[in-house]
This record gives sequence, C-alpha cells and structure tokens, in this order.
Amino acid sequence: MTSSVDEISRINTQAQSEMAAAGDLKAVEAIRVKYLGKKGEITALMKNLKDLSPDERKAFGQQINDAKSTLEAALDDAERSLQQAAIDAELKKSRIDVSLPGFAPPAGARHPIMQTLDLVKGILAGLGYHYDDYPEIETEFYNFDSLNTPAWHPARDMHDTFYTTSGHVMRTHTTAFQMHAIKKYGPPPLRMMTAGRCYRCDQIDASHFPIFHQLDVFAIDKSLSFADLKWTLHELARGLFGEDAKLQFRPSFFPFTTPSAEVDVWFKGRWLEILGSGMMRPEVLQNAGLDPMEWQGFAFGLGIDRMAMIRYGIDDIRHLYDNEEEFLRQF
Amino acid sequence: MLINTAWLLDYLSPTPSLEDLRAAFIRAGLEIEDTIDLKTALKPIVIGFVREVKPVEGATGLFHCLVETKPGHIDSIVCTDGFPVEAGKGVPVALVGTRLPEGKEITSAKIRGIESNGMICPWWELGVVSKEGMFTTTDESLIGKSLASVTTIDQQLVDLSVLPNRPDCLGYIGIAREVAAILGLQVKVPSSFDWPHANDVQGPVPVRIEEQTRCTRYVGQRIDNVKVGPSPYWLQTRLYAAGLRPINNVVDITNFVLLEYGQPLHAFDAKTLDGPEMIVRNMKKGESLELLNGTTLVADDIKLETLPLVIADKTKPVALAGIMGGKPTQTTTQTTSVFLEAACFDSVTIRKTARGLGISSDSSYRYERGTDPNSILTAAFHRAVALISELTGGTANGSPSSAYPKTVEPRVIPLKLERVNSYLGIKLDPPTVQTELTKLGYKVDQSLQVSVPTWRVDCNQDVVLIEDLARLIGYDSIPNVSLSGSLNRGGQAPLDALRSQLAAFMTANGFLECRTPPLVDASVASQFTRLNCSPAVVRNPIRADMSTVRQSLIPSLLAVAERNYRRNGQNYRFFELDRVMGLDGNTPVESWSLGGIWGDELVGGEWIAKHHPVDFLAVKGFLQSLFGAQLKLQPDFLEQPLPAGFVPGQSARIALGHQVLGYIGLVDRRQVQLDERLKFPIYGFELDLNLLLELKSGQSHKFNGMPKSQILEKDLSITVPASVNFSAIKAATIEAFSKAVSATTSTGFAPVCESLSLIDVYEGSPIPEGKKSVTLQLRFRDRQQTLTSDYMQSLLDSILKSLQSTFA
Repeated sequence: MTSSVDEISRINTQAQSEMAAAGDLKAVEAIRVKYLGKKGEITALMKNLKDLSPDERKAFGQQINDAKSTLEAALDDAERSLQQAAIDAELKKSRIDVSLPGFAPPAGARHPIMQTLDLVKGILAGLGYHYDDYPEIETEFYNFDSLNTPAWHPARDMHDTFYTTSGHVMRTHTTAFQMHAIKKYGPPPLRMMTAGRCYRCDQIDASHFPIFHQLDVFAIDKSLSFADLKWTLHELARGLFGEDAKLQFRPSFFPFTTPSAEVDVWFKGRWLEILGSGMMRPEVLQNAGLDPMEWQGFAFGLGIDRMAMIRYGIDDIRHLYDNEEEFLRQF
Repeated sequence: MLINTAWLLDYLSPTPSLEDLRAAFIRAGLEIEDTIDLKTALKPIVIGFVREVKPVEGATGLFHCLVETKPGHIDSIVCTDGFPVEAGKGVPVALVGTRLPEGKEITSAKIRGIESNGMICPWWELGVVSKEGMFTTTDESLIGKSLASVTTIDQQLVDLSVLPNRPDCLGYIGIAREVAAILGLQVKVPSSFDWPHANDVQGPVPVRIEEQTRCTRYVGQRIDNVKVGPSPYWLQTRLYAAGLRPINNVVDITNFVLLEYGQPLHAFDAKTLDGPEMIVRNMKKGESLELLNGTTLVADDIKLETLPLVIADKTKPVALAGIMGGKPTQTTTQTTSVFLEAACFDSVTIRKTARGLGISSDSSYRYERGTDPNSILTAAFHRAVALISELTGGTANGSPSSAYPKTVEPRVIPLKLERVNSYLGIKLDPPTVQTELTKLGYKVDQSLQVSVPTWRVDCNQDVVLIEDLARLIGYDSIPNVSLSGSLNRGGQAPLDALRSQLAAFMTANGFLECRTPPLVDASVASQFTRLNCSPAVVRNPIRADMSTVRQSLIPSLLAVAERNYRRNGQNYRFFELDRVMGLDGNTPVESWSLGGIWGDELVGGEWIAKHHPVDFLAVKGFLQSLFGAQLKLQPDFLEQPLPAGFVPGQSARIALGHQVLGYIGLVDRRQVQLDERLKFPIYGFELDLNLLLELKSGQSHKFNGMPKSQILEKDLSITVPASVNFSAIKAATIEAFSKAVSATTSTGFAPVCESLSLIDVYEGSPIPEGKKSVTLQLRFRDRQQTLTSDYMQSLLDSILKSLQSTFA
C-alpha cells in the first residue's frame, strides 16, 4: 500500500518533468499515452485496486483519481500553451509593416464647378424645383426677344454675344430657358431650374472667361410676390453659406424682371454680389402665352464659377478651365 | 458716372451726411463701383513754400519753382500756369512717390533740362471742387504739414454705375432727385432764367426739323457779345472732378450743364453758320463734315441703312446730330457770337449711327439711352443761356428758336393697389402710394392714376411703378414670406440623374473631372466625333483657336493631358460630361457625351506593382464594367468604321444592333499632332448619353427568382485558324449551345448559358502554324433542376462538334 502511494508520487514527479521537457504537441500526446493511455502507468495502478481491502481501495482509489485529473489538467495546459505559441509564431511570421503605402488606384474627383452646381441644385430640388437641360445653341428669340430684350439692346451686340454662321447665338445666359420650360412643363404653377454653360465675348483674364456656368430658376403661380422671392433666396443662401447667412437686396435692372434686385451675401467681412433676381416681367409671361394679370412669377440666376471661387477661395477663374491635376485633386 | 459728393450737395436741402448719401445710392439702385475719400487721399500732399519762381526759358506757360517742402529742404519743381504761383506763398505739393486721388503717381522728371521732383497741386488735380483754384497760405509754420491737416476737405469721389434703363440719372440733378426721394429731402434746382426778348428786331433764328421721327424737339438761342476765355475755378474744378478738361467758358458751360441735367448741348460759332437757318435733316450724298475729333465724314463712304442725321445750316451739315459737333463751326477764342442748341433725338437713331460710325461721346451716351424733350431740356437750355450770359458777358439776341412738331405727352398708368400689394407681398395704403410716388416726380390722383414724367423713359407700365415703390420703401422692408401656392415635385430630369451616376463611377475609378471650353480650333473640332453633322462656326470668335463648337470631348481632354504633361502630371485619367454640338442643315444638334482619356499605369501601387501601362483591353474592360454594372448593357465592340483620330486595329466602335453608343481606342498622336508633346500611348473614349439613357430606360428590371440548382462550369478547348476573332468564336459557341439545347428538348432539360469567358489563347507548338488553341469557360444551368451527367456530356460533345465543323 505504502509503496503504491510512493509509486503515485514518483509517477507524478516523473510526468511533470517529462512535460516540462515536451517541446511540441506530439511529445505532450506521448506523455498522455504513457501515463493515461490504456496501458499507461496510472491506468496500470488502477488495475491493482482490486487486490486491496475495501477501505484501502477507497482511499487509494481517491489518490489515483486525484493524480489522474491533476495530470490531465497539466497536459491540457501544456497543449494549450503550445498551440498558442504556434499561433503566435504564425502571426509573427505574417506581420506586415502597416505603414507601407497602400495599393491604391489614383483617386478621382469631381470638378469644383460641378460640386458647387450639385450643391445648389440639391437645395433647390428640395424646394420643389425641377431640373432639366435646355439648348446652348439658341435662337435670338429665346435668348433675347422672348426675354424682353429689344433688337437694339447693347447685350445683342457682336462685341458681347457669339453668333454662329447659321444665325444662332451661343446662349448668353441660362435665362434663355424660361420660355422653353414654360412650353415643355406648363401651364403653371411651375418651379423650374436649369444650369450650364453660357457664352459671352469676354477676353480671358483672372476674373473673366468667355465661357462660364450659370444656374437659372423661375417660379410662376397665381400670387407669387417679391416677398416669396426673398424667402427663397434666404433659404438658398442658408444652404450655401450657413444658417446665419445675411443677404442684401439692391435695386438693379434686367430686361426680363421688374422689380429687379442684385443680391449680396455677407461673407468674410464684406458684401459679395452673388446673384441677380426679380419679378418676371409681364412681357415675358405674355410671350410665353400666359396672362400676366393671372400669373405672377419670380426668377433668379447665379454664376456658378463665381460661387465656386467664393466657396473654395479660388482667386483666378482660369484655374477652373486649365484642369491641372494639382488643382483638380484639391476638391 | 463719377460724382463729387460736395457738388451733389449743391442740389440737396437739407444737407445729408456722407453715410446717408451712400446708403441712398445703394437703395436707389446706383451701384457704387469705387470710392475715393479725398480727406484720406490728400494726406500725403504736403505744404511747401515757394521760394523762387522763374519762367522756363524757351517755353511758354512753364515755370521753374524752388519749393521748401521740409524746413530747410528745397525741391526743384516745374509747374504750369494753370494757377499762378507766387514766391513766398505756401502751396500743396505732391512729392515724388505720392499717388494722386485718381491714381496717378508722381515721378521725378526732367522738363527742358530742369529737374522736377514733385507737383504743385491746384484743387482740380486733387478731384476737389472749390471756388478757389488752389489752397495757399502765408503761415510758414505749416511747411511740410499734410494738406489734410490744415484744411477741411469733406468730399468723396464716387463712381456710380447708372442702370441702363435710367438715363435720367446720368446727371447730378437726376441723382439728387433719387437721393432726395429716398432720404426725404428737397431738390434744389438752379434758379430758372428768362431772358428779355421784347425788342426782338431780328426774330429767332429759323429752325426746322425735316426728320420728325428721328428728332423730337430742337431749340436754340443766338447769344452775342460773348467774351470767350477761361472759366472760373468753381466751374473748372467741377469739370476736372468729372474727368473732363476745361476748354473755354462757353464749351465748359455746355459740358457743365450736360453733367448737371444730363441734357447734351452744343454751342456753334454763330458767325460760321450760313443763313443763319438750322435744319435737322439726314446727310446728303456728296456732303462731308469735319468733326471736332478731327475725322471727316464723307457721305458717299458711309455704309449705313440711312445716312446719319445732321444739324445743317442753309448750305452744309455743321454737326453730327446728338453725337459730335463740326470742327469749322466750333466755338474758339475768337468767337464773339454763339448759337446754343438743345435737342431731343430718337435714341435708336443715335445708337445706330454712333455704333455704325464707331464714334461716341458723352452726348451720344445719353441720347442712346433716351432724354426728356420737355422740362429737363427746357431747364438745361435756360440754365446754359443764363450761365453764358453771366460768365461771358453775352446777351441773348432775339427770342429762342423752337421746333417741337409733336409734343410728347406724359404717359398715364392706372395703378391697382391690390396688384402693388400682391406683387410685393406687403400692405400699402393709397395715401402712402401717392406720397411715395410723388417724391419721384410722378403725379398721382386719388384713384391712383399715375402721370409719368417724360424723363422716365423706362416707365411704360405698372410694374415699373411697383419697383419704384419697392425702392422707396426699401427692399429691406419687404418681409421674407415662405413660398405659398401649389407645390410641384422637384428633382432632376433622367439624363441629369444618369450624368450624376456616371460621374460617381468615373471618380470612383480614379478619373478627374474636367471643364474644358466647348469652343475649339476648327482643325480639331471634328476629330473623334460620333456626330454626323457639320460643325457650328462662330462668326465673331475672340480667338482663332476658339472659333468652332466642338463635336467631341476627346480633343479637349487631350489638351488637358498635354498641359498636365508639361506641368509634371502624375496620372492621366480625365473625363468630362458635356454636350457635343453641330448643325444638321441649319438646325442645331446637341447631344450629351461622356468623354474620357486614359494614359497612365493600371494600378497605383508603384512600389509593388510591375510596370503595366494601360492597354486597349484594360480600357475596354473598364467600359464593359460601366456598361454592365451601371447600365446593364452588353454592347459589341466592332473594328469598323472609326472617326478620324483613332488608330485602326486598336480602336473600336461600340454598338448595340445598329445603334452606335460611342467609340474607344488608341489615340493616333501623330494624326492629332501630339506625338512631340505627349510621349506615351493614350486611349480615348466617348459615349452617347442620350442613347444610353434611352436603352437604359427601355429595360425592365424584374426579379428573376433564385435558381434551384448549382451552376456548372465546363472548359472547352478548340483549335481554330489564327485569324478568327474572338467575337466570332463567342457567337458560334453561343449559337452551338442553343442549337444543342433545342435538339434535346425531349429530355426536359432547358439549360441556359449564363456566361462565356475566355480562359486562354495559345499559339505555337504543338498547335500547327496558322492555328490557335482557344479555351473557353461555359457557365450554365437549368435554373429549375439539376442536369444529369449524361445530358451534360452529350451537350458538350454536341457543342464541340458543331464548333469544329464551323472552324474546320
């Protein structure tokens, strides 16, 4: 009996030292077989129990079970730590320098004019305006006559307007869309907008380019007033310049609106002119087949190039049309 | 119009502050372009004491002055006799480096061999209006002090931009009227002057208007015993402040009254006129007229619809009506008798003549926009007669001449209060409307019938009155009212939505969006085009290389690439969404395009990737993913035909049936003359967005159910002649597949080929010369059931057999 107890402690000690020396999972498994397998040393001790008295059997049996579970737990630990070590080694091997440059295709970007245009269009779409495209090669009728600009008006001069050999004009303002839109989407009520390129015979310098972008808007209903126009422009300005945007309305002149107003926004400590606006002139409504005593409308138009220059602090309009990578990537 | 505020205050009572004045300009619609505050501008001007004055030898009207500009420091300055300089007096001096209010910088100069290091400044050189010609002092303690510190100058020069519909504001009195109405002041009009003509022995000079549609009114007055000489300083300084040079008192008065009232006037030397008899008529063939600016008009050389309107005496034209006087009849220092005219001409006539002849003047500028034939003309005419009498000692001889065949009556506009309030979104009452409009010279009765003063050439209907009311009560006092009425559905047209979608796809793939000018050089306008029409040409281009409307976006994008190449560009992926345009006969054609170019490496991980420049298949694959993922389209890429600019054999027409979606291909850099300036292969493509939208909107997007079976992948290798195109192999395979399926309908299986891809192409041993081995991968299934292996095998056998016979 005593020798059996000694035997347990010997096996225990021996197993512990073997485990400490075990370098891999295979060695740990061999120790498990050696002591706990069918023919293992602890299993063999269990076989001796039947020769003992019931009291001794109980006590000794308890000791063997204890030794067995201690050894099993130790083997499990050894196995787990070896597995972890293997994972750690694997991870270490596949470690990369995360500061290496990524494997990226070049980044694209939308042009600042188009970003600005999308912003303005989005605000106006939210106010119920419908966007569509209208011709760029225009007739004098749509570009001038329909908008109450008489034949002798200086804007129609060859110094100001590009004429084609076919007798058309390159539209000088997106306002040319008004009668097209009334015909296409009318009768009122209407809230319409368009945007795009306009052409004027300007020499190229830091603030002029003969081709530029405008956005034009009009609304026609039974009783739209100058007060409605003011509200609409405030909404637009808040969308563009923030909730506290401040506007100034100055009397102005356009052949197709009366009353007319030039609108300034308070920006970085000064008033900046941003758009022209006004109540649609009765002649314009009449030209489009609407009764000016029945319908009232307002209209406004803004230069998108200028708006983009203000938003991004661009100091020279030519950058917008040079399309240098260095420039385009900044937006 | 350049305004001196002190001069403007002559016409306002009581005197407003400068701040109020400026606010009133803005509220009136007179835009302030520029302001020069003279108090500030005069700070750098110092007081210098003239120690010695002597005439410059051999020059008349030039004096050499020694001026003490700092205690103990003498500067040598050459001055003119514009204002007599006396030794011992302190005068304002602009030293070298000083900038005068209107921008001129003083530099040191040598005049007739004499050093001149500064300028003695009479008031007019400084933009100041004054009764005196120059500030002078005897107080020696002021030497070196700033002029601004020793005298009070509360004047501003304000450059006002007068709106084109308001020619009545092209004079001080017109501006004063607007300001007074806004600030609640009175306009002080110069006192009227009626000259005696009781003993009218000679009678008025006969005047006659032959062209009554071109001239509304003509008045004149002969004034004798005139002494022509320099004007007083109050007048000279005013002309200078307006940017004019004084000439002599008679001419100066006509210019002054023009600035005051906006009414042009002209003074002839009466002794040079034949008759005298004044006729307003058209110029006649064979006539000529030498103008004040030195040019001579010869009627036979003039190319205008109608010969220009002139003022003629009994025998000859003496002035180009409304534009410029004639040189032989001008007022000179020898003149002793003048004929002063004031007239009202038709604005379109003057505009056409001025533009047609390329001659303009302060007069034509005003006539082109419209002048008042009634009270303003009369008042200005009387004012000028009065001033000529007063300043030249002349006497009006005889009663005034007048021709006014058809009186211009004031327009009467009925104004409805509801309309005013509905237009402005406010509530005005009739007395307010009456009071406000009266301030601008309108006559308004109880029922709001408004009589419009004839100087308001713009006021033809009620909305103009409504605008005036809005200006008078102030745009700021109109509230912001959130939009009422019916609400439409906002949003964007489908083409605009497609552009946004494609722009997102392009930028996500590394493309930079460009905005390039649609006006290009004629030589590139039609390169790469997908349009079948002639280019639109601009008749009046600003530059030769911007003469033609482009028909493709690719040339513009190549120009961008070329510029970036010069400027050390890194990547060459650019796109633009824009119209391409042309003319079909005389009808404009506008079609939306997506244009792109691609000339850089395929990937951006330079340090790890192999050098792999973009090639045709990469660009094609990119477009295929655009078509497939964005538009659900699978167009064909065909070799022929191609527009100019693409390299044949490495470019393709993109088509769906008979419809051409666009082009893709290698840019022929030699052909487009970029081979020297863009030294790497670059690909271009352009797609027809209108057509893409049409095809896209024609599709029905319906859910196809989920398949019940697994997809089958089978590889097929066949040997075909090397010259056979992949598209032919693909077409034959698909045909063979469907033939094989329809030959076996009795089995109950109905597999569909879901994709066919190319795995490998191989030429060389052991494949015989002139042949290639092509391996295809078919992915197919019957979505309802699993195919048996027997069926599958027979299907593949049948396809192979069919292909072998096709390409034998």
